Order: sequence, then structure tokens, then C-alpha cells
Amino acid sequence: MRINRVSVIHGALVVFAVALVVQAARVQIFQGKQWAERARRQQFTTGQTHASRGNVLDASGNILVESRELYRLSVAPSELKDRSAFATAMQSAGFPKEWIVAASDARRKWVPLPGLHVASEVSALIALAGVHAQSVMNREYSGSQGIRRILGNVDAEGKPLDGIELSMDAVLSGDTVASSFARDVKGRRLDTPGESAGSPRAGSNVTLTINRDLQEICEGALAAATDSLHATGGDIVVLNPRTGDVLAMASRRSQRSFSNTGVTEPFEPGSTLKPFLAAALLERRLATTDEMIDTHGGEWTFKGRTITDSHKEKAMTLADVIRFSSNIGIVQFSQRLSPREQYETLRDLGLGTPTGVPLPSEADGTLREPARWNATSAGSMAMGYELAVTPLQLVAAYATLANGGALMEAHLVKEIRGADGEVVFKAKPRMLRQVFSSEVSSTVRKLLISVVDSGTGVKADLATFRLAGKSGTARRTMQGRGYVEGNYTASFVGLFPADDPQFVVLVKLDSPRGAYYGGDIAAPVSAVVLRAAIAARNAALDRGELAIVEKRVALPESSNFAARATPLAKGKRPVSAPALVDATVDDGVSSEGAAVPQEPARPPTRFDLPFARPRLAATGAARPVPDVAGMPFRSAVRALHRSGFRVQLAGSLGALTLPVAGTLLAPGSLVKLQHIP
Amino acid sequence: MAKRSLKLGRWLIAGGLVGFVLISAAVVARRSYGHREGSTITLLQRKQAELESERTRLAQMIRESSSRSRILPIAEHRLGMRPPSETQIVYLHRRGAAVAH
Repeated sequence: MRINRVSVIHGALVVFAVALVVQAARVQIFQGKQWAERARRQQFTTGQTHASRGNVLDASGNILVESRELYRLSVAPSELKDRSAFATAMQSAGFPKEWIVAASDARRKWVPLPGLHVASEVSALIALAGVHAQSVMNREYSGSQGIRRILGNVDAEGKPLDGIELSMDAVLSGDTVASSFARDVKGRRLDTPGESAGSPRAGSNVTLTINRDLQEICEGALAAATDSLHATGGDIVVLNPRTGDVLAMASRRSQRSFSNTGVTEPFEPGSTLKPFLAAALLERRLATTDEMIDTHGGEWTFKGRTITDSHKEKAMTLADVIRFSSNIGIVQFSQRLSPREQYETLRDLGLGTPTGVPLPSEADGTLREPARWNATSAGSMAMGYELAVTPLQLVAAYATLANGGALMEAHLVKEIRGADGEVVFKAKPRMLRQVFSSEVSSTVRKLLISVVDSGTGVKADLATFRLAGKSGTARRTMQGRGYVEGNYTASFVGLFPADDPQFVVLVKLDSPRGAYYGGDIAAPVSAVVLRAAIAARNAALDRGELAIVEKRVALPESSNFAARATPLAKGKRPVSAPALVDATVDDGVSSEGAAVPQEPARPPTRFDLPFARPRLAATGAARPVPDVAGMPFRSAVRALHRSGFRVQLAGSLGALTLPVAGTLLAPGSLVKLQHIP
Repeated sequence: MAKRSLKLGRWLIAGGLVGFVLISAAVVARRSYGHREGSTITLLQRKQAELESERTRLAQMIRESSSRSRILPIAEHRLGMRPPSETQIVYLHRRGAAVAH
């Protein structure tokens, strides 16, 4: 049999085809699973996908912290193909020369570059072979230092360290899911359309009760006060007494501190505690506001301890005991309360118990049970010693005097919304207990009005609103040395406006040098905060309600602030200031709810502020600080002198005069004039 | 007869080979398309992340610039503006609202 070449080729092809089929069958059928697994390992990789962390917002919806994708870069010098392009890209990304040299050093295997980088700035670098980018979700904080303290921080791995970031981590952190994704020959991730369905859920957004503008006002006032008084620190806390919302919490310490001392650092409240004792006495009908008590001319020895008053009188009513902050008076009055009653009053006010705001390390404060009191404890506690409260506890307790006697739960979180915008949690005002009756609360508030009106807190007084408040001055202890002479905590708690408070403001200054009475140094800071809040566009104030309780004040006829109305267009009649003030905002609905006829629209008129206020009632000889803007320096001094003020030159005030032009002051008051040579 | 069956066999083999080539080409084309789409998605997602990051940065800059602590000194020093004192603020009363004095 002759075998031709064609047959040989056919035979070879058949053998090849059979071998191919056999091998295919071996690979596909017998070793199929094994090869499929190997291919999966090669083409796909598994990893954890972290969803972005939720945002934190202030009460007005301003974002305080959000997540942002940044890149951490590393270079494998041996993988670099175009070194000159690499050097150029490094240079344009802003890396210093030494890093460019280090990252190009072929002897090194792996060079991690410092810092986190915005993708747009390093995109040219990332595109190069040998440059490896790792995506990192970084937290971007906006807002002041005080807001940063409240928010806390996360570490490089995104783990929360303190503040809201730590306490609200469960809701802020998004889901982490293990996912499998395709990768190319270089191991880079290849996204596929089907993946998004399984993407992890982002963290929820947390809205705080903090008002950013008010917080900044408080921080500015606190910084100015601690600097000028050389205080070692201070706190300002503002709370809404109706809801318990914490509106601002500013802290400052001379030492570097990231702690929210408004909740972590208790202090002896001193005389700011006296109104609660007065309320307890009134509640139990153990005293009346006009009841006189012997104050022994300002010096009295009680159980071997000499107690003194700054305002020395032979006798005082309970109202005056509060007004002039008499230690002797309050100690004697408080003797009518049993230790148990005294303790229960303070305990019911939430003293010695954490408020429960979601901030780590909140202090309990100190309030000992009567069984652990000594012979003088009741007296000491009546004066605000032998117990310690946090600033937040104190403002929450004062809220009872502002809202009709109810202790409200303090809130720092207003709302939590899921990533899809759905409301997950909404804080509602929650009354913890009724501590005082509304009558007693109102009576004590009247006593506190007298403190600001004519007592120890006159420096907190405002021109247009009545303020209720109480000053406190307490000796401070130093570690191992007990109470130290000349070391005080000066404080003031204000209820604004007194008639229907919207704010409870606590100003506390630690170890000020020079003046140290709360009424002298903390009360003016409270006035600064409130004036700025009134002037701010959005400082969590209900101006409709303020309009109702506004105090009408008089301006002298010769005021520099005569109304200046400028019509916008020719022929438009300017409206005089009184006409404007008498005008009402007409929403077309009367108080009974019936529709009222609409008046014809007024012509648009532009007003150049400042303008005069209505002269309804005279309030003494207060006069406004004249506007000296644009005046030569000598003329400005003369203008201030002509208005009856003393003038002091100062370097940088942040304003031309302090108080600013238009502020009502008594003749002879000191006005600081900015003098920049 | 034998010649005819040989011819048919060749056609069958040729047809099988053409079919194999076509199917292989289709598979390769499909995988290439998928890879290209995957790369595009990755690129777009990276671009989206970059833009989001940039948006966050710009929004933060706007927030910083519009914050009270930043605006106030500029308005006072450059524009000569100042916050009104409390006596310069006029409250407008809603009709029907009680006024307590």
C-alpha cells in the first residue's frame, strides 16, 4: 500500500484535531473547575469597599465636616519608564527636589510620598507607570477651632478619635462591603456596570443644634476676654431654654487643649447657684422675696467660719440677697431648707449628673449626698462651694428659671438623615422633670432682672432688651494647695430676653488677672455676645418675638444718627424713620385670622443706616457713641469729648470705636478709639 | 462517488473551521468591548471622584470665605462697615402681634 503525501498530511491533521479535542475535553471537563478558579484568581480580586462617611452640619444646614477623596502616592522606581516625564510631573505636583531625587532612585524598591493629594493636582503623575495611587477618604473640616473641638477628629485610617466623630461613629460611618472586581493585566481595577447595584451605603448625615454664627461670636468674645484679662481659660455656653438645644459651646485654655471643657471640666459655680436656693425656698413657701434677714453689716461668723459680703448691709430682703449676691443672706435663708431638701433641689436641677449630650468624656460634676456633708457643707453649698458643675449643667439648670421651671434634656444633635435624605432621627424637646412651678420660676426671673438692672450684673445690661442674670465669683483651688488667694472663677449667667428667654448664656473666665468679679468681667462679655447675636443675620433668634419684648429707648435730639432716607428714584418720597418704625409687616391676615384689605404697595425706598429710633420713653441720660468714621483723628477725639465720653486710644480694636458707634452709654463712660499711627 | 464524498468532507471541515473562527472572533470582540467599557467606566468614575473632590474643596473655600470670622474684619477694615449696635436695629411688628412694654 502506497501512502501518498496528502494522506500523511490528512493523518497528521486528524491526529492534531483529535489531540486538540482531547486536550480541550481534559481542560474543560476533567480540569474545568481547577482552571476556572485559576482564571478567577487572575482576573478578579476581592477587596473591601468603604462607603463615604456622613457629613456633619450645623443647625442652619452649613456643612461643618464632609469626606473628600484624596490620594496617597507611592513610587516603585524600578518600574519607572520615563524618568524625565516623572520628574516633570513631580515638579508640577509641587514635590520638593529631594523627594523627586529619592523617588527616582533605582536602588530603592518602594518610595511612599508624603501627604495626601487632590486627584486633579497629581493626575499626570498617577498616569505614569511606576506610580501607585491609593485612594483615601479624608475628612475636611470647616469652621472655627471651637467647632473642631465639638466635631472631634479621625485618624489616618478614618477611625474616629474624639468629639461627635467618635460618639456618633455608628451613624456617621458608612457600610463596608467585601466585593470582587475585575482587574487588568497590570492589576488595576476594572469597573463593570453591574457593580453599582451592590455598592455600600454611605454614612448618615448628622445635623447639630450648634449655630455656626453664634459659635463664632462666642469664640471671638471669649478670645478677646481671655486675652485682655490674661485669664488661663474660659467657656461660653448658649442654650435654648425652651428646647434644650445647645446653640454654642466655646472653650479656650491657655494650654493646648482639644477638650470640650464645657462638658468635661466641672467648676465650683459660686454665687450663680444662689437663685436655685431662693427658688427652693419660694417653692416650699419657706421665704418670701420681701422678707428681711439680718446680714450683720456684711460680716458674720457661722460655725466658726467668717462669711463676708461685698455689698455690706445690716439687713436685706431675699430679693436683695440675690440682687447684691449676699453670702450671709443666702446662708441664713438656706438654713430653712433641710440638707435633704437642699440636695434634692440641686439634684433635680441635673447637677452632679451628666446631661447626656453625645460628647465623649462628659463629666458628672460633683454633688455629694447629705450623709457625706460636714457641719458647714449646707452653708458652703448655698454659696456655690463644695460642689462642682460643668458649664453645660449650669446653663441647663438656669433654663428652668427661663422656661417655667422645667428641666429640659440638653440636645446637641438636631437631626440624623440617611444618605438617601430620609429622616432617621429628629430630636424633640423633652422635659425631664418639673423642678419649680412656673410662678416660682417667674418670680426668681424677676429677681434676676433686678441683678442686671441695679445689682451686681449691671455691666451685662442691654439698651433694647431686658436681661435677667446672675454673676458669680468663686475661689479656685490649685492642685495640692487648696484655695489660692487671687485665683478666681468669674462667671455670669444671663437669660435673654428676660421677658421670654430665647437664650441662656453662661460666660466663665478662669483665673483672670486684675479684676475678678463675675459682674465686672464676665457680665460685659455676655453683653458683647448678645449684642453681636442681635446684630447677626442668623444667630438662632426669633426676631418676631424679640420685637414684642423690645425695650423702647430714647435718643437725644442732637444725635448723629438722624434718619437719612434716600429715595431710589426721582420722585419717590423718602419715608421718615418714625413712619418706618410704626409700619407693620402685613401678611394680609389679622390677629383673628380674617383677611384684611391690602394697602397699596409703598414705593421702594433705600435707607442709609443708622437711623433714629422712636422717642417713646426717656431712659435717663444715656447717649449714643458718635460715628467718627472718616473724621481726622483730632476731630474724632473732640467729637467723643463733646458727646461727654472719656476717650482712650487703643491699637487694634477690630472697630473704629469700642463700643461701636450708636451704642448707648452713660456720660463719662470710657470709649476706646482705634489709633493707628 | 468517492470523489464526491471527499469533496463534501472538505467542505464540512472548511465550514467547521470558518465557524470556529467566527465564534472565536465574536468571543474576542465581546471581551474586548467589555474590557474597553470597563476601562471607560473606571476612567469616568475616577474623573467623577476627582470632580467631587474638587467640588468639596471649592465648597469648603466658599464656606471659609463667607464665615463671619473672615468677612467681618474685611468688611470693617476695607469697606468701613460695622455691625449695627443694638439701638440701631428696628424690629418690624407683625400686625396683630401684642407689644409688651
